[in-house]
Amino acid sequence: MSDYRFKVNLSGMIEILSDHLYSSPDVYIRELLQNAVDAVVARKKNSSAAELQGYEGSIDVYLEDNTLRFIDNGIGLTDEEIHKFLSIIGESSKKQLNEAALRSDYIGKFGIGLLSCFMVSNEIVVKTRSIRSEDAFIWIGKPDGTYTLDKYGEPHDPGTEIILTPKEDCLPYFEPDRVRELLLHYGQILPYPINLHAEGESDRINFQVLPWEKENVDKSELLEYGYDMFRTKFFDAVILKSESGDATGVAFILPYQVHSSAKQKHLVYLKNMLVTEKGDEILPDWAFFTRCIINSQNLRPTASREGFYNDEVLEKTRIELGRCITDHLVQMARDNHQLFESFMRIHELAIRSIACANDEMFDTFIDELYFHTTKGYLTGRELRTTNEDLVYADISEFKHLSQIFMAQNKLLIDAGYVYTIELLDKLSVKYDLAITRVSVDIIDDMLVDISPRDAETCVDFLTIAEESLKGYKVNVDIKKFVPSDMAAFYYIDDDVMLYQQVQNALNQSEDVFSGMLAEFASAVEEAYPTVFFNFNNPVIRNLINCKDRKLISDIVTVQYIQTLLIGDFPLRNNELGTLNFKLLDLFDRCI
Amino acid sequence: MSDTHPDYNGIVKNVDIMPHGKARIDAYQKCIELADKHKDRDRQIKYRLLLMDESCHHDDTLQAYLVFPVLLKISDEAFAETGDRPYLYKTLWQYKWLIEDARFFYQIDQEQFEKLVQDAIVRFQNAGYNARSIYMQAAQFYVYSNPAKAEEYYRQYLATPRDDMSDCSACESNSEFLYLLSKGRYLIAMHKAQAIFEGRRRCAEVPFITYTHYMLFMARRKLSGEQVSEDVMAMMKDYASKCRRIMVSENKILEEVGKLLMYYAVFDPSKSLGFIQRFPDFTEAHRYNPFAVFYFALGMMLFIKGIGDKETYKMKMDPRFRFYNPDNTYNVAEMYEFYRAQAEKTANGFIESQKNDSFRKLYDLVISQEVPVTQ
Repeated sequence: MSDYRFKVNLSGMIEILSDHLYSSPDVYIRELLQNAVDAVVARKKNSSAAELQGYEGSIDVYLEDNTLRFIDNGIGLTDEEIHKFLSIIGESSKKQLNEAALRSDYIGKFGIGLLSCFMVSNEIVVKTRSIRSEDAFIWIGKPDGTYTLDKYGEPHDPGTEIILTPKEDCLPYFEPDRVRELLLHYGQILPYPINLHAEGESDRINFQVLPWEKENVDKSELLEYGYDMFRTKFFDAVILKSESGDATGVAFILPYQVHSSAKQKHLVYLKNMLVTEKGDEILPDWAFFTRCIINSQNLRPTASREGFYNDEVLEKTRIELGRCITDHLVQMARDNHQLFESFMRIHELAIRSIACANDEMFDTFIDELYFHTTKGYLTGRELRTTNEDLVYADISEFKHLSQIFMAQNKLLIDAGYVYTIELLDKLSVKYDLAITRVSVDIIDDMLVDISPRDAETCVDFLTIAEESLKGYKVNVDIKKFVPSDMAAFYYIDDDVMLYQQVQNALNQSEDVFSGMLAEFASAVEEAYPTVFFNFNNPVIRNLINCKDRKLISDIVTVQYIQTLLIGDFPLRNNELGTLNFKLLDLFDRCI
Repeated sequence: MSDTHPDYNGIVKNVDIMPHGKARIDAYQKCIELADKHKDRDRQIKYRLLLMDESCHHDDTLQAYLVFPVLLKISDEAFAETGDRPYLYKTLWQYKWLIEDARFFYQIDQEQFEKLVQDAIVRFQNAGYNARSIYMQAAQFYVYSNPAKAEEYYRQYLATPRDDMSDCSACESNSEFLYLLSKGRYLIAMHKAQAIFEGRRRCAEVPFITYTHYMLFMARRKLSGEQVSEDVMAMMKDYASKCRRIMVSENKILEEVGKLLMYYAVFDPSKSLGFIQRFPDFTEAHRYNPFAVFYFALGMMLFIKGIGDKETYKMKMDPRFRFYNPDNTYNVAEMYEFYRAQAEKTANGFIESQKNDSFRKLYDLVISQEVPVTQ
């Protein structure tokens, strides 16, 4: 048996990187910045205190004649290290470090970053001198996998210089404005000065101190920074801190309402280097009303370096950063109620969402949240302290039941509003309240039985009504209820609705599905809606005493169809045609 | 969301901020009624698709099964009249979901399933797509009842390239994981799911449904008397907390609640009661989803076994709990018998209709536990 070695097609590999790993050739600047920062860190770690006296890590970028020179004064490479780290793909000078050291000190890890330069240049020139050597070297790599390595004859300070000349179609990535923008974008909070030298000018690109880490940080300054970063005049700013991810940052509260499913794109930096602009996983889902800038020292980046592994550290970081926001809001509610009210006007939806997800936030805010009911808008406090039964209905039920609840001055909560059911659920657990969904039993209680004596007078009426409505598959009953001007009330519960849907599907299905639907239908119990006629209603009273069977039948049918129309229920059996016909007949008889 | 027609817009303009589930399904139902009334074919299909989307994602798959046959009929009518099928891609995508969920409904027997598969394959091919995803779902459907047929479908899946109708790579890895785990090929299954467990491959439901299945697998092992290592226990603890979060906070993957309850009952019983209290009416709310009800019933049986030899048990439950008693005292035997009967009925239903005895085997395993498994 013979051993063979795989061969790597470098140009194919570069294609994979550019098409599948990196989102854009822009990242070549990020990769260069990463390597430069890691080189500075390595120099600091591998030098004595005396050697470091007067040393300050720095990165200088020169743009001259469409050529980019990227210079760091970091640790540099020996010729042995060049062979090892620049020429073996996937080999990284940081490979031998353990995970903890990698997380705490270095940004890079995988040994593929320099390859990203081949996305914009057909040649990578590296001039480097190690702090451990007097000799400098020049390495020239090509995308076909070949490279040369020679001693560099001229004097060279310790550190590394990378020289790139653009491919024909990559000139835009080397324009001064683009390079400036990319350096700012990826490196604005890097801890070492980044100086750009272009068009005869030199200036420092990045911050000296992170805006949120200044002593006595000023809120207005932070908001101004937020405006610069996101072009938004934010409502408020919250300083963020997480021990798990060793992360700090700032969360800006949006000045407008956003949808709860909106994914906010947070800027997330790793060791001061931008990793992602779409960091929607670093904060809890409920924090959708913020946009954040976060710098972590301890999260684990993916190979593309455009996101993080969803591991335990990220999970804990998410919780801790979320807590910063909740603590801030709790404090705002206590110390500055006016500001909090303004916040609530914009972000009540967000607060409802947080209250659902977080018990402490629920306790803090539930009394302030509003619920739509048949007695107007009531707060959580009013709901939990009322003596009335707490009954809720979903959006369609509320619409047709509210009339009867209002007339009887009874409380019905509209659960059609987002998060209402979840909040009621928590309210019930927290305060030991019985909060129930409206049911046929509750409706029964509101529709009062008539006396046996009255019932006797209704027998004929009910018989005619049942016969008249037989074709509509509806149960008929008579009760007393208010409002008395409501002649009839149509009630359909979930079981009835499901039964109707199954029957409807079965009737319309074709061979492929019929067996399956018949099975479903056999599992669903037969159920029909009920129309309750109102004994308190003068028209119904007159009908009960009426002897004209046809008149009773016509008016009962008209009343039934009217209840369907008022309740916005579906019409399936040519009810409108029937209504029209019956009304014309009634008019004719009146005339 | 909005609709240019005011009648429809009046119903759906706020649908995006409605709670997921019944409220949104009701809104779409109303739109379907309107569209049917006006014979507005485009909206007849569109709102049925939206309803199916909502029902599949928020655990009311029965609604999808009720709506889809009519949707397909309307689509066929449109094709016969105009030569065009509106929303074809989305329609086929939903068909795929229905086939995927078929193994969770014993109301769908093998013959019916095969009809669906063959019909779907023809429709996919007519539309220019291959049936890779259908093969995978068919493999999973037959994995216990007809292993040879399952393997044949699995081979067809592997031999068919990905196309636009294929599931996302996270879902495919998860499906492979489920299939291989069902075949008992643990190591290769774990290998297939490595990217999921490492957090590198995810989508709306993956990794959570991968976690719950893994936890169920381990619970089954533990119930069979096998040891589960400390490392695995630690990992599952993490998975459980992530799944619980997404179930409780976001009402997602609720059909997996029973599996998580089984995990708690077997490995972390002190968390069982708190979890049950979060879903007081689970059985009623999911009564038309036998798969979800089955695992929940087994979880409840294990929880009740864990209570020990007592006639009554005091616990604080929500009024929606089917045995709710304001004095918080519950008859242990009555509760156990209810969930046992429910689990047995479902297990037998799957044997009769799909010739799948895996549910029954798991039920027997739970029945055979005489003492709390963690003691």
